[in-house]
Amino acid sequence: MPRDRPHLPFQGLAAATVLVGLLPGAFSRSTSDPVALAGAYFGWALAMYLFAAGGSLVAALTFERGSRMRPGWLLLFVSFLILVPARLAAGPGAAGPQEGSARLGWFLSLACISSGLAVAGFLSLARAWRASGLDLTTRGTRLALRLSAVAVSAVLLGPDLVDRFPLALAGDPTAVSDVITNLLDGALFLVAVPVARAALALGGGLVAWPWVLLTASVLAWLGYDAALAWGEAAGLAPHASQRIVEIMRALGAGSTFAAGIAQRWVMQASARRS
Amino acid sequence: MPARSPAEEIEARLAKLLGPNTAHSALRTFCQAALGIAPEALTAADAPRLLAALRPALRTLLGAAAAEQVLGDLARER
Repeated sequence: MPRDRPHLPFQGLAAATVLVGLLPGAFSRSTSDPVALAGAYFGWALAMYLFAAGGSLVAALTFERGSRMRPGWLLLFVSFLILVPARLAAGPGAAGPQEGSARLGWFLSLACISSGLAVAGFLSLARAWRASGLDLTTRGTRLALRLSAVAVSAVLLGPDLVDRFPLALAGDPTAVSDVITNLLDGALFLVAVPVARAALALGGGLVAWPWVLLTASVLAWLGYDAALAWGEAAGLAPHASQRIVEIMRALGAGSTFAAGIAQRWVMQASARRS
Repeated sequence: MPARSPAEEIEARLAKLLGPNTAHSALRTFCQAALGIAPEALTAADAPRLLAALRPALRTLLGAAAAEQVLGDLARER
């Protein structure tokens, strides 16, 4: 790691993450065959989930046993790993498994478990940041940021929640899963606020990088939900909406991978510096 | 160029890791909490107690091995 420009490798990692995240856009421009494109999206999503799981595992294993941040990274690792069988159960294509198919139950259960683990992971990392004693933001600022997160979650997830809730009450398993996933996504944005605070507070320091990239990951998942909820309502053609969903998915998972690698690099650089 | 005070040296070193704002705030907070003094009043003799107070924060963010390396470097620079 260059001593005179210690941020350079992290800047390169962030730039590579953006390029990798934009690849689904290149897929959509390289073929007009919808089956081939669905296959490319499917394979890329699986690869990105594996990358995200791998990056999180690297970060977790770089911390010693008993470290406060290790459980959070381990939870993120399992959260992304579970998405691999969930995606395999869903199969290629935007529609997912057919209603009543045997794979639907697996897909819905695994997706809900993954969302729950992601919330727990971010909660654990946020608690570690609070426990460090370096979070010196005022109560007013914390409250304002939380309220902002609630407002954004309500705008993005509220309409779908209102739409699906009556069906969930009627026992539709897909609607039940949608409601649970929406609630967990909303919770994720809320518990990610301290992670964003850490990224801002640590700005300019090497330790900021994993927090910045984790924040980027949450913002990408926010974009993913926005594209799902509002893409077609905003007048986008289905294929354009799907392209944005896939780009956001790749950016979200790719940023988690990069955050894990950045966490390891920060610790290695700190252990070497003199 | 006048020699830097102990607080300025520690803050400059921490700023590379934690960023200038958090390094500045952390130094003020931990000086007050551990020693009951402002950073400007920190002497070389006080530094070990300040570094001990910073240990949990650094261990949380960097893990034990890297935190001990950083603290060791800071102690040697005193």
